[in-house]
Amino acid sequence: MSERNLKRTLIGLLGPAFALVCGLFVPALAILLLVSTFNFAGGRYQTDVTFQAYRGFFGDPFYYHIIGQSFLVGITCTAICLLLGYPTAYALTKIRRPYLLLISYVLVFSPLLTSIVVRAYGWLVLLSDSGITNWVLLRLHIVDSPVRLIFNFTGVVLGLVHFLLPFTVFPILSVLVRLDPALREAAADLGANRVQTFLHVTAKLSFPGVFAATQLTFLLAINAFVTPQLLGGGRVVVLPQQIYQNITVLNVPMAAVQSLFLIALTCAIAAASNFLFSRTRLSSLG
Amino acid sequence: MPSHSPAAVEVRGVTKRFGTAIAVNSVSLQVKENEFLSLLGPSGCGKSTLLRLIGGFEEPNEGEIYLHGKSVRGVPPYRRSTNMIFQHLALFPHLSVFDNIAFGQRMKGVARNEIRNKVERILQLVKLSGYEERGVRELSGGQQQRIAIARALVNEPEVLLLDEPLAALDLQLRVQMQHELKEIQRRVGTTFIFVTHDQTEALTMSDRIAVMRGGVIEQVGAARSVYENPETAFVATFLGDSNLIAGAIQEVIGETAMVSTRDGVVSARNRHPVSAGLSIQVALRPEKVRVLPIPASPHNLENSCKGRVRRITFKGTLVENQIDTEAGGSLVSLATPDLAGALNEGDAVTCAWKTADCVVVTS
Repeated sequence: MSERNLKRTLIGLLGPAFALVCGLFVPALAILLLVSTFNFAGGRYQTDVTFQAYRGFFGDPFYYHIIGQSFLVGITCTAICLLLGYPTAYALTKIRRPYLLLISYVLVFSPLLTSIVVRAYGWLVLLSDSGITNWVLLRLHIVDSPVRLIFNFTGVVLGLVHFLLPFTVFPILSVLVRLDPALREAAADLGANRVQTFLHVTAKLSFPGVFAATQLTFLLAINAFVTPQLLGGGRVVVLPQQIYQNITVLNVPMAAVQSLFLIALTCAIAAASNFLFSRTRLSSLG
Repeated sequence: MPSHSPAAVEVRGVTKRFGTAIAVNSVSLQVKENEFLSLLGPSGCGKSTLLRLIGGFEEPNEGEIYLHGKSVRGVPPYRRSTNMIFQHLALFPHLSVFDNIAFGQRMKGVARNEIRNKVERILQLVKLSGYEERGVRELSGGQQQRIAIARALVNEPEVLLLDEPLAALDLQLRVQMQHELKEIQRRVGTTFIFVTHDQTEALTMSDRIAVMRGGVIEQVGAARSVYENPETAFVATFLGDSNLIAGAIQEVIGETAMVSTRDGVVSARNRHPVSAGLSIQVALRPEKVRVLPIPASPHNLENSCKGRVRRITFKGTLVENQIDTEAGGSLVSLATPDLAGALNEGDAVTCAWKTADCVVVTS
């Protein structure tokens, strides 16, 4: 391909996405930035630049609590997803029978096929005080009164793990299936038993997948809105819900500040973890 | 070695099936201490499976494998005294040269100092001293090859299994590595079992060759002896080239058989228990066929037939003549250019060869 043709092809391929980002996303971000500087008073915002919302957000301990809550949800979900997801991904690479493999893939990735709202209501049916789980527990006299499984931290984590698990499994799985089986055989040949082979070869070589899975899961968790909103019952409030709340009360400057903060936080976490990742990779290569 | 000591490896009646396919079919084989044995055969003949059975990566459905007289049934690879060099080497991409080589010793819990000394010594053996801290991906194909050899040999295995490790290298490097491997084997004196589909490789490196086809060992013996005395048509053509002349046994006199072919009666060496009338083939190496211009008469050459030169191909050190025989058959002859003489395509010629140079083979 000549250089000119290459240029044309690239413009053709990247043009639409580039136009969309520059035409919509960048202006929207600029508006967000502008609105965030405005003043909010008397139930509506005025277009005078005061930076009052910034002072309000960063000066209020309540918001630190919310950010802390977001992190707590993110870390808990990511940890549970990794603990469940790694063995799942590993098991998926071991299934030989094609139909079993198909069923397993459908089971693991089916949450992606249904709407988050539908899934959240599904959990309501299962976990509410008058739901199936409590009905069974009561009937079997395991508990005397309904156990609170929903509208609290447990409910939010449960719903989010369900939603996030495919995003954890997939990056790990894609690295594991690309691992040359001869490497495991070589380890066994050199005297490593199954556990040693896993620790010294499989686990280390699948680290890029675990890293990608951790990053993706955590960032999706702290940005989740629907699941905490529907399953948190107002007891678990995370940052995206605050943004929504402020929009409904027309405190748009505050919503803008919080949105920008969330975007910046996401970018910062992604960049910092990528930096650390490439540093450890480089040092391990000597 | 006293003769009563057990073989380094003994395979006794081993069969391995994958589903309905039989990869290895009741194979028996003995490999002596310090021997370099090649398993030679086309792809799919079961040679790699046999190697993996010895290494413990597969378990036989039937039969038994012994390492130094001890059955290794159910013993996993990590508890066998064998080490394997894999076809694509399977070096650990996340580890340095040093850590790759030290892997086996660390798994055994050998002391740090000792590991360091051993790795240094083995790197000297493979001529890669000073490469300890390199990543394996930075190395050339030949260097990776040597690291794979070092990684296996540092564990002082009783048997080293090599699964076509040279197949991925280009010709020049492959020839060089063949010599180096042979040299290393002589120095460390370990038993080598080498899987290859390359007959030249097998001939240059091995003490003995086992030729495999369809899950069965067709013939096993010293490299030269198998080359000179192929028992089957397959061995005659897979290990070196052969002219195969179809015919029927007319008479057997001691170790010589008179065979009637369409080009007349051919006398050939024979070791098979054959009787008159049996259809067999006579294998004749191209380099044993003398091609003479018509007036010249072959002397001391018991067999001859008339024909015409179809094609002359100059191959550098050798000239190949393709001859159409009068009876409609064809023969290939190989000779150095001076021996081949000044023949032209279309010349009428006599092909001649000794009884000792052709051998009766079964199919």
